[in-house]
Amino acid sequence: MRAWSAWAPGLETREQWLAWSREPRLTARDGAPAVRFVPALQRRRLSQLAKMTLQMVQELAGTQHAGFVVASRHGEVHSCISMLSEIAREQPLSPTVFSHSVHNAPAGLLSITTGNCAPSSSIAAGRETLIHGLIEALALSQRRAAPVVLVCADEALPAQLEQFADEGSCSYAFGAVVSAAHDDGEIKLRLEFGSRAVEPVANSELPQALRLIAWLAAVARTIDFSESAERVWSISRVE
Amino acid sequence: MRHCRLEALGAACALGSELRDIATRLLSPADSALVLRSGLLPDRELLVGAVEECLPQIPPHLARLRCRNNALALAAARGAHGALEGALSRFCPKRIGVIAATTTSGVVEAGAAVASVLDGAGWPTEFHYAQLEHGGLASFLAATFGAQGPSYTLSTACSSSAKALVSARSLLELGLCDAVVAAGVDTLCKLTANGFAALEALATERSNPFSRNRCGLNLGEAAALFVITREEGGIQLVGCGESSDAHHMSAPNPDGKGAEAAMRGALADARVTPQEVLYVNLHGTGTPLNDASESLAVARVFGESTPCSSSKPRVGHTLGAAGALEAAFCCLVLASERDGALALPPHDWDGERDPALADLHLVGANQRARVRGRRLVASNSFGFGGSNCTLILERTPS
Repeated sequence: MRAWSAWAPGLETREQWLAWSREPRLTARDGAPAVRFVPALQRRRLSQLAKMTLQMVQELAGTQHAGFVVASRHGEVHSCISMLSEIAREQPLSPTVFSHSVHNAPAGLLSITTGNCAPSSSIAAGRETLIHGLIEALALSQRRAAPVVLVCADEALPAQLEQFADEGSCSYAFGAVVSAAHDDGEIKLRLEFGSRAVEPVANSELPQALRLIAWLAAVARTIDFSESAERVWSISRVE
Repeated sequence: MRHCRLEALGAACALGSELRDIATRLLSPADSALVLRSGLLPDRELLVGAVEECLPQIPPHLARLRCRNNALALAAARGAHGALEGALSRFCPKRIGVIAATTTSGVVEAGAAVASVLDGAGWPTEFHYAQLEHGGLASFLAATFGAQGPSYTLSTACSSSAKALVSARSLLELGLCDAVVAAGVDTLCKLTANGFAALEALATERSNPFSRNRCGLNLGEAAALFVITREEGGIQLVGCGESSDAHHMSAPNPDGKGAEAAMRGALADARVTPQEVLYVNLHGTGTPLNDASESLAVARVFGESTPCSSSKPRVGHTLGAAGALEAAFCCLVLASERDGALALPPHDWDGERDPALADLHLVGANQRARVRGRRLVASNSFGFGGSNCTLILERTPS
């Protein structure tokens, strides 16, 4: 991991995130980065998710990369529910809203606004979205033989869907430049998967990405993500 | 030397859900399997590629994931008569991964559920968000096949399941898995129908790729599943190329450079020349823009003599499933070899060339490709947001 960044409403600077990490908690729901680097006409069509994703790439722009992975559990679910409501009322859809609502819209917008023709990917994996975003980023990095940008971001669920939530619902984005090469990067990490006895996770309400941010800001050696005793992902710092 | 074998495959589409039936229909003189469907759009019927048969039931312990999208995946698995499970049986579950691709997920069920909420009846008891969220497909397949390794859903519009195959190969190369279930699944639904109608991308009749009269696409639904391993022999995924257009969310770059980059990338990855490729499965949606940019790009890379065709007039544009389904079609082409020649899927169109397009060699009825070296075919998938992916498959002597 060569560099990382994060954004949430009210949490924009590294200092704010370090302060947050002393007592990690769900981030807020509403608010989006200004993304003034995007032309105004395009900017007004962007969802909160798209803006947070673009902000992460902007903040990581100084670090060389050859592709993007956007990992989002819920994707453009607000747009989706709103379009399904319009369909139920037999109202026509806006073509722009539809084309901006596909799961890979943030990734597509990334390549369009940065003029970057490198391949990109968009994934989702429920509660394990962050971990699998890392895996897809490693996969893309390996075949590009270069670092790639991973953005893991979500908007808080629409209120009507909250009853189905199995983790805290909040808005945030995490970005990192990752590389599959061993000898690369300022933060060397090892990703392991297996099963073993683990301490119950105190903050399992928090989405994986928020837990990772808290860990990156702190000094602990290893972080475990476990859905069950049989399914444990561990990330460790390697000297 | 690395290997990437497509060991087992299952598919369900408008041509059927048994590989033998699909192959027979695909390789015969074109009979379009599209049907008229009402109810997708409020004001008219649509010609679509549908899976019309009765789908398998999703077992009670997975009731939360019950949706047509997941049932289509089961239909594809069932049509393989245990081949997928058999191929996986020699691997430890934790070493089996899943990369599933979809654009719709359970949006049919979600649409009905939202309508119920708007009517004041609340969320139906059978609905759960797990049906709608994209990660649900990977969870469902992992549970179905007993895969306990890395498991995620990839969603990049029309290139989704081609990219799933590419990432599956990467997981094998990284040593994260020993086998991967790679799948593409998408369902006919009002959301996609209304969205493409809003974009004025739907044809009023059967799509007519590369014709001067082409006027849009037909939607389709399908599921295609592969078990992919590091074994040698059989049908290998030998080349993958990817790029982004960086141009527009719903239109390809007319210069075709993104498509060209994906094709050249795949050829370079496979270390083969364009001349060695015996057949190209075109993305060929029948929209004015796709066909224009794709024809230019294909001509630049392969020239105008490599046989090529689009299956979309026959099965519809299956969106998130297209990459995997059409890779499956390529496997059927490779498996069709008799007397030193491959049977090729005919290109179903009205034969009226568009002079503005490159003059591609579109496959005619009963046309075969003589094998003159390696048995290589290529498949293109180009999607919304400018996501491009080309796969090259090879049948190795074994």
